[in-house]
Amino acid sequence: MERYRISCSIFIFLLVLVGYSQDTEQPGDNQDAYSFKLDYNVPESPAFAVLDANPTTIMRASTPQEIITQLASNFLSGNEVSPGLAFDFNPYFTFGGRLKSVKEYRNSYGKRFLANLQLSFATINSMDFPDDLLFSGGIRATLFDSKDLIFDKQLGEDIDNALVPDESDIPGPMNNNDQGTVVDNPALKQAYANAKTRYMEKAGGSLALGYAIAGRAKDNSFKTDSIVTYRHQAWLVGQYDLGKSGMSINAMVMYRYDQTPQTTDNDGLISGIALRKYGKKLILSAEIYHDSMKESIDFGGYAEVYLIPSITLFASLKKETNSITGDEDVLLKPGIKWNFSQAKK
Amino acid sequence: MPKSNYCLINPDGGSLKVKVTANNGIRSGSIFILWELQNGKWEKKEKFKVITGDDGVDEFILLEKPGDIENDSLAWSINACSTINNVERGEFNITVIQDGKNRWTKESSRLVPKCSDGKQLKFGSHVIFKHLINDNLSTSDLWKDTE
Repeated sequence: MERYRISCSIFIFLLVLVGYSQDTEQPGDNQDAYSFKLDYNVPESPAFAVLDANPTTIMRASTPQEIITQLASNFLSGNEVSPGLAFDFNPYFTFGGRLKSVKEYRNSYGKRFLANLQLSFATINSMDFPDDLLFSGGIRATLFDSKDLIFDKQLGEDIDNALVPDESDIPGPMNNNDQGTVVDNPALKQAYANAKTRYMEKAGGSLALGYAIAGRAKDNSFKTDSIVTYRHQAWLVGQYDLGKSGMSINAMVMYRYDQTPQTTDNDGLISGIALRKYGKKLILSAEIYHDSMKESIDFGGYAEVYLIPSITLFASLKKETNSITGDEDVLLKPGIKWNFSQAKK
Repeated sequence: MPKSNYCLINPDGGSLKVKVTANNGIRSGSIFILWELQNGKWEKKEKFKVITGDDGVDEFILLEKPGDIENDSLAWSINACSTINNVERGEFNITVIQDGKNRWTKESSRLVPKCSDGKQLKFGSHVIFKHLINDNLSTSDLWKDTE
């Protein structure tokens, strides 16, 4: 146990150190566009939330990003951390939904709502139930986001200007490149780097609603009589970014119905606030929340650092209660966010 | 050359309008050039910059009269990328319109990269204008006659 705590401390120290060392870059200098999607305001997976596998309890309310696969892993040696996988996607476009234009996205609340739905599935091996597989499904809807990037008209204009072919791309009279080719355009990266600076400096709020259900496959069996659902939860989360300071305040209220071996027909509210500080490549967060089922006030700390393309590492320190023994402990939860859409290119 | 690269127009009709659309919030920027074959050499006659932008649509009118446009080639090069989260595919339409009639349409469904990845899809093609002898004859009927 002592060895595990030392490993945790070293990991967090390295995380913060690397994050701060990379955080000194000037806006727009050598910043890859993909960092925008990964290291800033990526909301948590709803399916991980119901399994308590998210690094934080208080979630974010911003619009979801592209397809993100998250791993809750025990890549450190500690056995207390549960390995798991969450896969989030948008059902509207995945199942053939269409959008006429950017204008329609801006003007139609219904289409925007559908375009930002986030469906999520996850599995995890919990140390609380070592012989079972925990699984979950969740959905998350963004009700409002005043900082939605699609409303950034300057970004739209910058992209349009970047896309117009230059004189060297004048099509010949018998042009026949109908198949098309994907090519790099540095001006697009610059447009997003500038948008990121504007985004970070802009104050604004967002509101999101979510629901998730968790189940347990006893002895890792998916036969009907081996599957039990043990938790439902629904939550409302609001977020306000203060702007130039890079600070953000999140507040959440969650209703949870829990049926674990210790608590049958237990339900209650989890509510709390989180304060986040966004850097270029590092996010630091602290949260405090009240759990009416345990009648306790808990706290947590969180660090997320963007190190290499497509991969974000995160870790949290959180006070938790073991569902079987009832013991309280401060646990480290490390994990990885992997941008699936980047990886498949 | 595929059949679809010919656009039949009425030489005595009104000006030709070219309309470009891209859906799903995909942004595109393109260049259209009208080429004319003069003494065995292609000469540039007109050039248009087309940006579909927030509306997903843009259009322009060819200055050349339809009576003088036979055998001219309208060629284009389009760059496109996706700005909406989760959108990877979109439909592109290029339509030549004369007197309110669609004279020729090219539709395509394409996978497009994310603008935020710093990547764009680059594609293009061309269409040759031919004078329509009988306005009631469609392009497919004309080709049936030649087969």
